[in-house]
Amino acid sequence: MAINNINNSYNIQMTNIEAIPGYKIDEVYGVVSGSTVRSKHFGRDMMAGLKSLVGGELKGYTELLQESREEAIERMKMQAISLGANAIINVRFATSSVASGAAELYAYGTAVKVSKETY
Amino acid sequence: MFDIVITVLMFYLINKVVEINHYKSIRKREKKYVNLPVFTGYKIFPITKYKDATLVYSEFAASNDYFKKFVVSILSFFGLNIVSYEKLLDRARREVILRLKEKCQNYDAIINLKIETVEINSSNNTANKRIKGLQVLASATAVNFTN
Repeated sequence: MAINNINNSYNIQMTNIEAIPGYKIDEVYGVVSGSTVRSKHFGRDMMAGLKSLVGGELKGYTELLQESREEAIERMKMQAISLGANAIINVRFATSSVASGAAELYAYGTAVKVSKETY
Repeated sequence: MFDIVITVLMFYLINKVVEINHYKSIRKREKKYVNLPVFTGYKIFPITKYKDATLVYSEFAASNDYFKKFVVSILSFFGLNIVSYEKLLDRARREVILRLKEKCQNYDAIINLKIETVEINSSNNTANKRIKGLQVLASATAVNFTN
């Protein structure tokens, strides 16, 4: 499944919560983050402008943000790997507009080293 | 002048049809995924109840047609309830949660759901920005239960 491919590249586990269930935290490396600034493709922007007259889903923007999110997550994972972590917990996302026609997608979390919990 | 009015009304009707079909599709898929619960917190169950946690995320961008935007500019002058955008956001949020569920069919539940709404503007200046549409982003953790 596509989602497993994204999460298993470089074997980094990621969660939205404060732990990885079934694993214990051995070491905490601090905040890691990845961000990308993307601008709207002129053609896509024009099509979205036209589509916004008719209404409905703006697929161009959905895809743009999907790609930005994946890129930001990859950068966050690279930073975590360089610190020696094998998981990222408490992942959060933020978007903001930085310049005319450009938006930033920022992904951040806490990089940790985990090992399987032995109950 | 008459042509423009006809075109705008035609766009309104097209959007109306798209909205009705989208709601039908949403209701059908909500029935299909009724057994996959979504929680906004994660402390509902003790953490030992979860296993195989994975980060999941989805997004959806949509807009209303020109006629609705024109009506909104009049309504907002009087401070009235803007039902067309309430419907748009309702559709977008339900769609985004359904897209999350579609990605997590092999999991038992989705926990710690976070939803964010952003505007798609034509320019950054507040003076001449025009809202082209709205985008809803969601992120959560998909888990399996241990028992």
